[in-house]
Amino acid sequence: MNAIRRFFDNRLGRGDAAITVPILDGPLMPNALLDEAATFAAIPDVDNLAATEKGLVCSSGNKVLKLGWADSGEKTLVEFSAPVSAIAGGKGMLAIGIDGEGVILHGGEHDGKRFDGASGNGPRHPTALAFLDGTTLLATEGSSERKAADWRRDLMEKGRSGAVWRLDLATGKASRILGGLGWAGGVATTGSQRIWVAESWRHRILSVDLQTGKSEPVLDHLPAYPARIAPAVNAGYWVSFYSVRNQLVEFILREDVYRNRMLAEVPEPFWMAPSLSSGNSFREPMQGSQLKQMGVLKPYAVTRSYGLVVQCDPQMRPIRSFHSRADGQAHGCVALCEHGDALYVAARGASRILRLDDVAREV
Amino acid sequence: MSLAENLVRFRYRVLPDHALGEILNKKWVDSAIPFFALVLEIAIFGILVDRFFALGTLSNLSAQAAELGLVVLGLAIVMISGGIDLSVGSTFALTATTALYLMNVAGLSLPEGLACTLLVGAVCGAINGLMVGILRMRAFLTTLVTLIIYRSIFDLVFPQISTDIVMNYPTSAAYETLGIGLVWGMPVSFLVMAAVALVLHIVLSRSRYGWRILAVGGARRSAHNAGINVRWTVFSAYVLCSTLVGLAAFLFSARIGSAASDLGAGLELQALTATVLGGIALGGGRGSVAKALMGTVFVLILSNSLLSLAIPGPVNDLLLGLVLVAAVFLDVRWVKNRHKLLRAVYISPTFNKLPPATSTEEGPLKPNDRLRNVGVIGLGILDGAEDVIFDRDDNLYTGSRHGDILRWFPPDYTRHEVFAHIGGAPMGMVFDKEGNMAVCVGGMGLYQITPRGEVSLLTAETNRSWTSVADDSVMKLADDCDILPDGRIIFSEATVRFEMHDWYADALESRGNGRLICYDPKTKSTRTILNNLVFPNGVCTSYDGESVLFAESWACRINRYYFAGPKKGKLERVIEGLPGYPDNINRASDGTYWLALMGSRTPALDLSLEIPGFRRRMARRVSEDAWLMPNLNTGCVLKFNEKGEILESLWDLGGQKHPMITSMREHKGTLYLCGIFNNRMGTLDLPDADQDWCGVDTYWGKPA
Repeated sequence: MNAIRRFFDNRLGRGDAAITVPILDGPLMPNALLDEAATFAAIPDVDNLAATEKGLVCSSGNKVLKLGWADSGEKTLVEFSAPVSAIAGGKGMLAIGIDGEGVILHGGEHDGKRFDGASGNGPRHPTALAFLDGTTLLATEGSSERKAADWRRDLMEKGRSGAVWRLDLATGKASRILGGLGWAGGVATTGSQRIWVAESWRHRILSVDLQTGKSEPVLDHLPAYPARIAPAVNAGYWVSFYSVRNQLVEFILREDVYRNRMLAEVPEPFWMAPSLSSGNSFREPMQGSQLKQMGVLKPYAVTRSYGLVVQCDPQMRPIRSFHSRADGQAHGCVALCEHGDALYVAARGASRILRLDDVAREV
Repeated sequence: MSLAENLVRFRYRVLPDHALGEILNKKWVDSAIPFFALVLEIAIFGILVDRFFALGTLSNLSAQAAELGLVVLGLAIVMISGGIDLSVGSTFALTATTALYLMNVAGLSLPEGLACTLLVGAVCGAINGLMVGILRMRAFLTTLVTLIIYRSIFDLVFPQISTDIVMNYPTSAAYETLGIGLVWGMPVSFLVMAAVALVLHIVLSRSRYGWRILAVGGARRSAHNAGINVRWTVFSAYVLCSTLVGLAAFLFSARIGSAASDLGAGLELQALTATVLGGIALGGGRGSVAKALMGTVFVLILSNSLLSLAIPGPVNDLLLGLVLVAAVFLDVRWVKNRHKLLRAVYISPTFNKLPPATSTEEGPLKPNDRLRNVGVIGLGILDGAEDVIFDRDDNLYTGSRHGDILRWFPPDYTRHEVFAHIGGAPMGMVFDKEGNMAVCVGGMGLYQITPRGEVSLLTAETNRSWTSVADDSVMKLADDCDILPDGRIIFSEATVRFEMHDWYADALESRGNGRLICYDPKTKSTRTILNNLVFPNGVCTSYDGESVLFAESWACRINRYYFAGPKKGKLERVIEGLPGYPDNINRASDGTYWLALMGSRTPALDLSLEIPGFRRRMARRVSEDAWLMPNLNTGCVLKFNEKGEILESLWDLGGQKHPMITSMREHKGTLYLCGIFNNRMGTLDLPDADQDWCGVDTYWGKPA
């Protein structure tokens, strides 16, 4: 029966075979606020923001940097042998995720503590970290097989091996709370036993009960792939996104022959897949509405890269959003943090940290 | 090359997927369903009914077909004009009574009786037409009312004269021949009907009046806006209908010679079933004589066969009614979904594996930014400048999307005027020896503009190819042209399957849909030289005048075709595996050629060219906005020599000023850059080039 239904669904483009994408509407109505935001700093491949009293911590490749709040002067805190893929700050310490290795603590009482993902004690490819309390760290792993940097490949392979980990800093014990996720891209605490986890490739945010390990979607059918989640001080959350969904990508995800050959034969920068930035090479794919007309790229053109930050209320309901559209540059906003009245956004696709003044004060 | 790949290549070469869409595009496809239904019906009843194919049965059938056929033809005309006539049965009764009385009782001659009968019919129709056409009452209700009125008149009159009709006999021998005579084994009445049908077919499909009826039925308001007198057209349709009914009644009375009180009752149901079954749209605007006749034969065979199978009359009517309902249902579904079906199957991509692209990492094709900071002409004024050309007085000519040729004046090209208005999108341009401009116009053909700005059509049709399903004699997208020393104009037609604004659908197909055409001004003849070219685009005559270079865009190659010399009639590849999609080719001052690349090849699209099924499904299911397309947001111009060696390249990466460069032209030390979707024209100084070089001189020599 299921096979028959799948057969007809595939012919008619219904059910799982539907390639429709929700539109950006309501609180997600597009604007150009990210393009209009001030540039706080320009750092190549900037990622993973964390606010500390002394400055803004971010990563750039293998390095963890600290930028002064006032002068944005840059200082290298620590450097690793592999790319930094996650950072969380709190209680005077930094938790740093190393892509392909695990999680390491920097500063504070647990300085130097390691969770070796390669040997199975913790996530091997951490994508986001959050402190539950002084001795407990939550971590997400995008995929057990793919590095955090290989998120595009995992997306196009329809990876389903993402996980959420609980790391006990006192005992050094790591336990997997939840597995089988379509790329766990972000995590945030709520103050109760429930946490939020972004399941990126299924376009939704889950509520996970830490005690039972049960999960249920709280925000689904998103028009974009959610990434890291940061708490807003006045209750609520900031959610960042890799990119928006694209009808052609949805279609290719259901076209196995083309998809597999593309993954095997086409160099990654030229894939027809979501990305953090686009238009860097003339060999990148182009879609119909991206053709410049009269010298103008239409902002509402379909796009592979996009800048999107959404503010949600404490129940994870979207309130408002900040965009950089197809004609903008501030794409790939995958990390953010709040400090004072300003929101800092790492536009990784544009290699810039943006500062949105006064947005954290309102609402 | 793997076996699987060879299989795919073979499958797309052998099976012409694109023919299906072209067949569905044909007008006669509307008749296909009724035709097959008719064949099926004949097959079924031919087996079930005894003596189905016997001569007597057929003769009887053709006599009935003559009478019902005329009624159906009349009704068909009204329905095509967007109306309906339910009163045909009552009109038939009235006119038949008239004919019987005049011929039997009054003893008139055949012409007199016929004229009077037709007159009565015309009056009945005029009443309908007056109310529906002139007074604009609802056709359905109005003719329902006249159905009752005419029937009542018949019921009042007929009992009074029925005895007289039966007691007397017609005196006219010609009248009797009309009723029972046979010519070449066929009833005379059938031949009359056949003649009427032939005339009507010509009127409907070939004459102004027929087109007006179709136009009024298809779109009343548009017909009105186009200047058609809608009211009189509708009026005349009703008059014509009832006159034909009168003729049918006359034939009937000649054959039967008497009448009963239920004369013509239920005829409207039969006629309506026949028209709808034949595929004449209830909404108007679509229909033909052939369809009406097919429907007639269908209904007659059905009712006669049921009669010979001894099925009672009411059941017969019931079945007829059910057939009508089914036909109406099919008609509605077909009209509603036909374009969807066509849309789904028309685009039929084919296998088009490209050779690997020439490297852009190093060598003459290494990207640079030489086109980023160039001069600008007509910023914000130009819209649709596909090509540019200069005359000997340095005037610059270019096209616009609004159907104009603009002339810009030297030295700074800030002033311009409309040189000529053509009405279609001008593409490639060339000057002949006398200084006339030949220009390709998308959707229109090849035009000529004299130096004084007078526009005339050179050609819009070429020879139709034998193997094509669609009529490919009309030009859909004349693209670029050039001229041979003897004055023949060679031009490319990019695609015969899509209109100009659907050019990217042709890119998706990547089939050889285009052709190279030659127009000879001496004989004013047009011939297709080469067929099955993959979006032939730029055309440029070689310096020796013996051959023509032309680009095949979606195949990323440049070819040469010889018109003279030892290789006359031969085709050879000049460049293969370009990294982008070649557009126009023009001469350069140093004896080489400029070539515009409108966009770059992308590995993702190149891969999809090997998987036609992927592109076909994409065309069906993904919005056009999201289709995978060539990367047209990069501008590139390159130079190559007679041997096909690429010498240098000029780029605008990211297409900041010049995305999608469709053409370029060198003139007196400056290179002018065009883009069909751009709002400007670029100028690049060429300090090393001949500063007095004018392209026209390389064709016709310097003026004395």
